[in-house]
Amino acid sequence: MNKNVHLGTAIGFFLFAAVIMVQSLELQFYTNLGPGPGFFPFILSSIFAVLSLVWFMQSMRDTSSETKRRFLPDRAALLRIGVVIVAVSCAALVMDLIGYQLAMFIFLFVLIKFLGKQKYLVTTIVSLAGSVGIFHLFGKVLSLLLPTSTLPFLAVLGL
Amino acid sequence: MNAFSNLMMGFSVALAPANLLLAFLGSAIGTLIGVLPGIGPSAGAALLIPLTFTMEPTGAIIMLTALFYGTQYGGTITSVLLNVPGEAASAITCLDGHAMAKQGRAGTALSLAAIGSFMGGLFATLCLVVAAIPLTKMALQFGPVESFALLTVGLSLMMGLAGKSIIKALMMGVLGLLLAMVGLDPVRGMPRFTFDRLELMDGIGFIPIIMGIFGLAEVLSNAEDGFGTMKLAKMSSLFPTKQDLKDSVGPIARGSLIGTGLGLIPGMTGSAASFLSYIAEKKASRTPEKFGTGMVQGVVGPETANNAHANGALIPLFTLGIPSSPTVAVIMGAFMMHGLIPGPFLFQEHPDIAWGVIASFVIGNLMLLILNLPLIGIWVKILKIPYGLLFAIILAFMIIGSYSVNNSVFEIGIMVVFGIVSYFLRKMDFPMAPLVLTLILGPQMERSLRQSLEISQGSFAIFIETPLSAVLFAIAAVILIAPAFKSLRKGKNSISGEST
Repeated sequence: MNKNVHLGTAIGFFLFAAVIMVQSLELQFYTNLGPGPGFFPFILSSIFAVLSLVWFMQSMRDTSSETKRRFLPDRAALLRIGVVIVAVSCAALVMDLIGYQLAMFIFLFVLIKFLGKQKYLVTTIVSLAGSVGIFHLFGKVLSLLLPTSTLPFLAVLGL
Repeated sequence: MNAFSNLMMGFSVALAPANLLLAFLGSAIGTLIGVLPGIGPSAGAALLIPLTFTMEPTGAIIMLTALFYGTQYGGTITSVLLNVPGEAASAITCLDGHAMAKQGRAGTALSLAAIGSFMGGLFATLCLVVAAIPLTKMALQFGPVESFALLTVGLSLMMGLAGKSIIKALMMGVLGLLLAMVGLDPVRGMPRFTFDRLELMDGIGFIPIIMGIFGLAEVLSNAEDGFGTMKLAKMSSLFPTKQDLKDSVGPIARGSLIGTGLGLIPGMTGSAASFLSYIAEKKASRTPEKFGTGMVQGVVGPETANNAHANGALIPLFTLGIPSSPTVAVIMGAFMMHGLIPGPFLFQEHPDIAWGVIASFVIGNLMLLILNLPLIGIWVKILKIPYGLLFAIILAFMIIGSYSVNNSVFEIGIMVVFGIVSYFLRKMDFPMAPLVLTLILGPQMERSLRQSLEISQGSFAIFIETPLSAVLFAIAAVILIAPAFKSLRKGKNSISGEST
């Protein structure tokens, strides 16, 4: 199973290199003054393509125990990883809409309570500190402005 | 001015109240990052960069460098008390450090490690003071050809030494260079690989990438293992005995030399320095069989070496403008974000900043000694915070850090993408350090290559025309080709690169 993942990734890398090579050729390769913007990316993507092929060949010949090791973790672990990725992505997507404070409060509350399995009181205090607290601390002390909501009813509340 | 008067001028800058406060903050945050599992020095430094946008460059760099060597101190605490290294360079300390803790000597182990770290840091800083002027004078003679050759050697060493497989290290190095191509072409200003997105015109931000590959990927790995709790060993008296101090003299001297020496070589990590120091101590000992059972030398030597390495690794950055590790590359990025180019010109154009930061290393190491001896109790208390709480806070800081780069959620997206990709690449044993280094050095490398070829009107012979560049390219070739020959001689190959 692991071997297939390695082979698949090597092919993916090779295709990625091929796309960059084609795109580099669309840029100027050489000008009257010397190498153009496409010169270095073309050379690099060519090297990357060759390295991907070498790795593919190495993976094909590989017979070590590494190839038999399970690549993906079990379902529970996958779920935990998925929750983290979805939570970060959702926080990023809604941050401009509902503002940093609300987005981060929900983000922290969900992760600390359901993945971190902490008590409600601790979860609430840390979520408030990490959202409302950080918003004001960063804004006032470090002059770093974090987004506020674009929805009028939330903006009125200072969120 | 000679080195001594330059250093004195540096102290006048570093001792300004604002800079002292920033050195303290950097040291404290560095120790905290070292203590916390799930966040390494590279992600920590990247997290802090956005907070420095409104600061003076000197203060910002003082804080970030203090954070870097501060992590080495913090990593020891978890190694000794939890048997879990807070960061990779302290891993070897677990062997004898935790054994000492089990014997009720945790306090002694931590105090000796702090003293050793201080001495190692001080020694490396003195080496930087002595080496700064001659090395910068030499670097000022370099044209684009020599610069390209030097960068090639630096990156070759990094790739040759990183990870188990040279092919995978090379792939990551080239991938980093390719990512550095995104944005405006550094010579002609033409957009490349931007997909008509304004956010990509300045290139892919290195802060979200670093947070993704070192921060988010680490959290995902921890999520895979579950967010369990760890058992903390009890603290004891911090005062070492006379015999402990006597036993520490040799390891401190050897660790300082090993750490500083390896810090100069790109690709040699703090872990390599501490591991080599451990071996040196075992060889120097009359009772090598007792190592692993709580030997003072097994704690002091590696801890001295990893801190000497952290400070020594700043020597090539300050004098030649070459970062030798991912965290130093992040610090180089911070220099650039503040409009400064580390290297010989920094000493010419901004001597106050260059010497101010160097002088701050002495002050920062002294602060760390204080933070890690009388205030050790604070860090022990922090260790009691459950990881189930910490990981969410770490993630929140990563989101803020990425967002603050351009006040855009696009950067958070980049962090997520690189976090996921890096999590899977790490599972396949791809080293991430070469990617970070080439990402930062990519534009500089391309500029010097293209300028060289413009001078020679397209002839690659220019790279072997001067003796210095010819020698440097020969060294790079040997570094990259040698592992391939070694692998062929062994006659076997594996995906994990065990034979390469």
